[in-house]
Amino acid sequence: MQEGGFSRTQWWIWGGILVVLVALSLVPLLLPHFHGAEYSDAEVIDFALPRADGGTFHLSDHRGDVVVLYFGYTQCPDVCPTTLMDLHRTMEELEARAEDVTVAFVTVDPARDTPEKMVDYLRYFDPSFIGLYGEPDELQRVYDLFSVTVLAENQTANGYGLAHTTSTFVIDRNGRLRLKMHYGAKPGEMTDDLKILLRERGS
Amino acid sequence: MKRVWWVVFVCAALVLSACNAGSDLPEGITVEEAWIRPAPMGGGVAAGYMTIRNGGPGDDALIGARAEFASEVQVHESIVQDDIAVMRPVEAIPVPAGGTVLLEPGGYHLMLMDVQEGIEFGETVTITLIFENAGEVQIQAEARRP
Repeated sequence: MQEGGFSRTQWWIWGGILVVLVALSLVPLLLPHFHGAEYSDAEVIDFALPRADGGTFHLSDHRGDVVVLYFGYTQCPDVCPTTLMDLHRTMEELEARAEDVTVAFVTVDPARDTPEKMVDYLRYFDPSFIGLYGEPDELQRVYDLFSVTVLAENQTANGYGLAHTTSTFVIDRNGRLRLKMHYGAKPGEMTDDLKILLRERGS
Repeated sequence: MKRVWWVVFVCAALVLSACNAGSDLPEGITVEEAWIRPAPMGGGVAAGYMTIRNGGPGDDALIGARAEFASEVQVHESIVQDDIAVMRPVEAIPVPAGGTVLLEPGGYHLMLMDVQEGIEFGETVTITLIFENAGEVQIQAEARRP
């Protein structure tokens, strides 16, 4: 028996515990973490909307892909183009991996956004972006799935402006709503988040 | 020796004229880094962005604009609050004396309506800004893919 202080064995035990604790505290830093706000992984109820370039978009047809949804309108000169340009950059940064990403732009202005306008508008940003339109009630059902708000706003010279949700929604390969990216996310953050989701396997 | 004095005289004249050119700017308003994001399609809307500096002694405000390539230009502001984007026309963007105002994505911007088709990236377009005190200021803005 030693008097007072730690024995050699006690040093080893306490030292070992300390090392393990430090290592454990570092684990979260090593695990992939998202920039976007995470959801509870709920599966998105399947929906179908007409595609601006013809045919019908069924969410379930894109199982296995990461699906990025953005809600906007073609008469929006500032916020929507900023987000769409960022998404285009993300697709470029993903290079070959972008093949597994579907980006869809859902109109919040069915009265003015004709399919032809949407095709022209989206081609300008990225030819792979899909425009979705439809009757106001069928669009509303999709807005509701994502808690998207659309409000008719004040008059502008070309009619009216619309107030609308600016976030981008990301659905994983298994059809689960995973992320909500806020407007103004730094360039590259979306790319980082999509890379993590693309590494996951679809079931 | 005479020649040296000539050189000094010419240099002084150049410096003075440069100073004059500076003070010729309307009420000290200068615009830098002006660019537009061209409309994705003919008849579409485009946004104009820039940095406005007021080097003059008095406050001023941007109250309007026009451009030949657009049917109308409005001064707008985007506000993103609680995840909702609202865009509204504003009557004036104040440019205080000695101050700088940014027109940038997601904030103040020019909204150019019914824009002519075929503006290429890299092309320069002319926009006339209208200030409360400085009056009209013509600027060149580059069409960019930001």
